[in-house]
Amino acid sequence: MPIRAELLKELNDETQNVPIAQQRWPELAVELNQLRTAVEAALAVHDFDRDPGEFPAVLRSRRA
Amino acid sequence: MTQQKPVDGLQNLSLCETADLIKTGEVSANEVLQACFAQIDKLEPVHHAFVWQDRESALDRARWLDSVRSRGETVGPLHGVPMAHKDMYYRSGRISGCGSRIRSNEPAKTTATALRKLDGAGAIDVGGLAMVEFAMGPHGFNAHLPRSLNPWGHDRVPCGSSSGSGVAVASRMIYGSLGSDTGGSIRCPAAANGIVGCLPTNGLVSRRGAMPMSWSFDCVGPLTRTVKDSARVLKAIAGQDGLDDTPAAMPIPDYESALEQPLSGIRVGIPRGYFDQDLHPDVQKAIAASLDVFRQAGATLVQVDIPKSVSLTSELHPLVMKAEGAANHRPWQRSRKTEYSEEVGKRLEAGFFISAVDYINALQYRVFALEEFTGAVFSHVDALLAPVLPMPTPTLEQTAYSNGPAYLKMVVALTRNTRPINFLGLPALSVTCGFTSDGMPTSFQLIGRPFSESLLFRLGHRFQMETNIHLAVPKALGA
Repeated sequence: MPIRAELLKELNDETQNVPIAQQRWPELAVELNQLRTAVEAALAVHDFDRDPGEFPAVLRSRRA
Repeated sequence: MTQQKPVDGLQNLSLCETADLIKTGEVSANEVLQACFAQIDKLEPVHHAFVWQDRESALDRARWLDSVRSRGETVGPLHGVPMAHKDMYYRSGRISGCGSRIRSNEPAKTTATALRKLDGAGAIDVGGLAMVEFAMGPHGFNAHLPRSLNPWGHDRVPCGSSSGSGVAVASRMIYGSLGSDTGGSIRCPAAANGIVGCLPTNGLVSRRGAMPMSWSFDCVGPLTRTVKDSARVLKAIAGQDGLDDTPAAMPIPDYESALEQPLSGIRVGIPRGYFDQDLHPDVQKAIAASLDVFRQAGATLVQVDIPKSVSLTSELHPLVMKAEGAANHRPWQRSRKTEYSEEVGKRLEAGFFISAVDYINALQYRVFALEEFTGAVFSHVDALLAPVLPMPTPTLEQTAYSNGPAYLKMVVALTRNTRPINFLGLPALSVTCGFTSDGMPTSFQLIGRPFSESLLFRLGHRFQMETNIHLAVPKALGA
């Protein structure tokens, strides 16, 4: 289910308290839905054993 | 003798040429600094590269460096070289405004490791350079500062966020500059201003004392006019400092000593997928010509398929950047929102609604993407050649915030080819490779395996020696 502008506004009122202009809510909903779609796509290769903290070690392991 | 050396002559020397002349005593640090001041006086009133200058401290330092030299000694490989840096590198007691109103009155409590290392190498710090507010934006505009102008065309953006660094180095006001690159902020201004930009491997250079934008992606690197200059500056700033856990514990090679090695046996990759898409014909032409230069210089050109995951890294990059940026800016976003420009104030808003779970999944994917990319690409080639900007440098009008959806599309397109490399943590070297039909410089980026800067410098240096494109002078300098 897509993220709705109304939900974002409620979340902001309850948890974030950042001043955000009224006309931004629909734009933010579009942006966040795009980001969520990307994350959902990334889950296709999700690895339960993958620690994101491994990144520097993987960088070092991939040097020439 | 050196007293009669014309100012223009000194300014057109590269950083390494200048440092070498100071080392041999043919020119003094003070003379070089005075030449920089003359160039700044001539061009700064129009180009607005600087936020502040500290000429008194710079002159004191030049005098001290000349006294050291008079004893037959030098402090280091950058002895007497005037530099200036993106105004986000802290020096204890000094204000680094980070292109913002919010930090415009707060003296730093620490000195950036990169600045300490440049001091130790003998460089002179002339001042702070313009940047996009809190480094959040690729076009180079900052509503709080006078507009920095691209010396190749005043109607074109200088790109950013290291906009002042690009303009000041291209305009020969200084010999080199530190920028920072979270999604393209070194490579894009380097490309737009016709100079060299180096994005080091994530973790090669300490970020201690540099303004954070996104901890996962931020990198410190140099903007210079030549690849050799870039190699010298990177050598000076790379490596562990005992204060920042990110720099990798490994010896830093002497990049300069490898520059002249032949290219035979080196495989340069021609990307098939992602980086070859949506290219302007002028950019395409310059890239094709560059590949020819490498082929003639002895490198082997190899077509290589780019993994589809690169497209996803490009989409996930803003998720991680915005989540980290929002977390860092939250107190100010709550209580001092009106002190942000409208454009930048909005940029982090989405970050407040990204879940921790999504953020962590994106970072898990980062490890997968790095493994996949390095496996798929670097098993076939040693370096990949891709355009920095897929289009000619945009006009000021094309990137005007008031342009609505067209503005947004352009801003996203500016970092299309650069932000995946930050996501992957790989090194990339941006080198001017020609000119689009409107006379603006355009660049390729050489992307390598982690910690392969030495090879990227070798390739980039050879390209500059073969083509001399880097010697072209921007229009505003009287070309």
